[in-house]
Amino acid sequence: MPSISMPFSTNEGRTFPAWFFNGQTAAKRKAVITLTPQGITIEGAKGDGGGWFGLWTYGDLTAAARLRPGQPVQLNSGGNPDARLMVDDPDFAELLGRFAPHLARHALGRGRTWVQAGLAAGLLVLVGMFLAYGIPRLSGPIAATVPISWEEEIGAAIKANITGHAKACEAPPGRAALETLTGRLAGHLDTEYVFDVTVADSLVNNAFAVPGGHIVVMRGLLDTLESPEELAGILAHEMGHVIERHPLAGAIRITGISVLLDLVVGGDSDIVDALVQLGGTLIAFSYNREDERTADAIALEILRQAAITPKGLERFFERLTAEAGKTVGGGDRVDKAAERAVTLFSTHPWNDERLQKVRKAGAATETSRPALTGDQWWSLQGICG
Amino acid sequence: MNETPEQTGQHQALKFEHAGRAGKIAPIAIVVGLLNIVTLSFYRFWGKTRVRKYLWGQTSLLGDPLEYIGTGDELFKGFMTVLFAVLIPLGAVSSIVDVFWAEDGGWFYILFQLVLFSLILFLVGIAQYRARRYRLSRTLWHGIRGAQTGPASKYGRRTLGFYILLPLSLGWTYPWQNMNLMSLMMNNTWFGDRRFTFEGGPGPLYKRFAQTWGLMIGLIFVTVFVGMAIHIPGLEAFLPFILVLMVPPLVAFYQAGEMRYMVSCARYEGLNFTFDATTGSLILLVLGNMLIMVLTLGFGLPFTQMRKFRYFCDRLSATGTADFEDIRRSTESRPTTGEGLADAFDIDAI
Repeated sequence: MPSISMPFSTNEGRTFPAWFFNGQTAAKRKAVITLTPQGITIEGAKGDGGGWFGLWTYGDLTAAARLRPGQPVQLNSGGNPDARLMVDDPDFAELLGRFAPHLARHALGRGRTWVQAGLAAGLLVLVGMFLAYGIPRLSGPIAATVPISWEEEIGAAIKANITGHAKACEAPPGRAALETLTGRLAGHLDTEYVFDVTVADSLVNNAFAVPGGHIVVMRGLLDTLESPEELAGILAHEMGHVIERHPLAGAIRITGISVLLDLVVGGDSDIVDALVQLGGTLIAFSYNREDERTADAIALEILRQAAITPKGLERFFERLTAEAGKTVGGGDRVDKAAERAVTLFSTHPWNDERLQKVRKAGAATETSRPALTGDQWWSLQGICG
Repeated sequence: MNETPEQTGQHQALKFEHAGRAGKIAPIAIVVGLLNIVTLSFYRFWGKTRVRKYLWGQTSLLGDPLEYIGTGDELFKGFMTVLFAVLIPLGAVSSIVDVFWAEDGGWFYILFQLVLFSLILFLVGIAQYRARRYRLSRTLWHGIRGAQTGPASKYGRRTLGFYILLPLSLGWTYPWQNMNLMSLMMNNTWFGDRRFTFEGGPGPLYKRFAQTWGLMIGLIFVTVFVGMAIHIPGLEAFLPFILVLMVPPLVAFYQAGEMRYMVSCARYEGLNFTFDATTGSLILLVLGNMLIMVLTLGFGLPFTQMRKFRYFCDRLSATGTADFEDIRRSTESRPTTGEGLADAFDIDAI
């Protein structure tokens, strides 16, 4: 680039009128500046007292905006960060650009903006991967370290939060029947958990386990059941989740996710708040296929020890396959829990393999007694009054 | 930049001007808005800085522009500090208390909630004070920075007092307390090594406040009376609606008066300030900004901020003398990070 020496020879020593602020007082000085090979020299104008204001080397210069030919220029220097030099002469910007090319290129940090955007996007991907893979992997091992007494405290709060305004059904004959069935299922289990089953007066078609051995069956699900053996199968399945500590792992997942999103998004995170509200229960109490397989296996073992036929669970699974995830919505009121909660299929992933396994167990069953008497089943169905 | 130095130091009217243009701020607003979305609002620190650099740069006094010298990195560091020092501990403590004691609803839980609520109001005050301190320290004009001194905790306590007394007095402590808050801020505001002063009692504000209430009662009375006299059927059903429509203009009526008075209480060296706020123009400003926010789905935020700047610059003027030769740079220490708390509490600030 031989032409680069040209400006030095033709414009070296050229002077421009300028305004100078020295960064020490608020006074505005009329100045004369000169482009020298070392940098810009700044002197007071003759009519304004004169004086030597300084030499600003080209390397130290920064500009308020990228140099554009014909536009006024505002400069400052690293050596005196609050001092300012303002030059109105239309020729100046282009000439200065030849002496200090860095001012013409990226004075506004245009390059940096894209670097930041890239870094932010990269960080976002990392956070996303941690959300999608890291937290689910970690939630199980972390859950295993939590004492069961803590889990019970946490579970009570979560249960109240999820059932919301739906009241617990408490008709005494129904409660008695439910406790009989729960006792029979849990009787042979070697576990610290004290199971507590509640029927919630909600039209949602779902049942779930929350940390600490609390199991909630929504009335919407109970109403669709055809026999006490179906209910026994469902309860045994949820007990399987509890024993494997899946609900606690779910609660840890949702806490981890919301803390992490808070970290990234910070204070004004209305969008994320809404997302967490909406998807919270879904993420926390959704299980993966592996979890379902384990819970099913434990359920079959519980049923075998309680001498209850798995045919009920089988029948229930068959009906689910047929209905393919339709929810029960026939009621004339929509309560808050119903809006918030999720359907059985979205929290308990389905596949045909699960039905096959239950069928096999059903065929192998030799002796069984009814889960409840006819009277008890009738009372339980009327538990919500 | 065409004024001569001789003018400074003479008795004169100082003009504030804002040259921001919609066509220039639109691309900034779009880029910042998109980057905020892509980064889940993580970009906001740098985005705010970009918008401020433009708004400050387009604002001039005596023909010379202001300059915003803050950086996004400073805002980011400020937020991270607050996140770990305040937000996470506070969130952790309140979650633990929620999980273990919310069920009982006993006196401990109620007391805890009260303390937490008070602490948050106190922190909101501190946040406002510190945010202003940061912005002033990053504002440069004629090579000299602004500053704000004084303890933020005092402002925090007064803010807490403000929110406690306001409902207890049915709103009647508002003018007095607002004046107190403003006085604390302005009396600690500096340009270079010279301090602003703020003097004046809340008397004139109470007059305006009473007028506002009088207008309100009068308007209700007229509405009901006229409605009954000419037998408008179903007026009762519309009455709440009419009342709601009345509130914004009445608030604007009070606020225009309050702003005019507060600005007139401020002095800097030999300069007195006047602010020509009017009820009508204030309504137009606020309504226009609301419309912009709704129609642009929030993307227009920088544009609404520019309208506020222009409103202030168009209507603010200073008369008197100030010898800029005498105003030296301040030796006060400056905050090294900015606005973490204000960001955490989502306090509306440009």
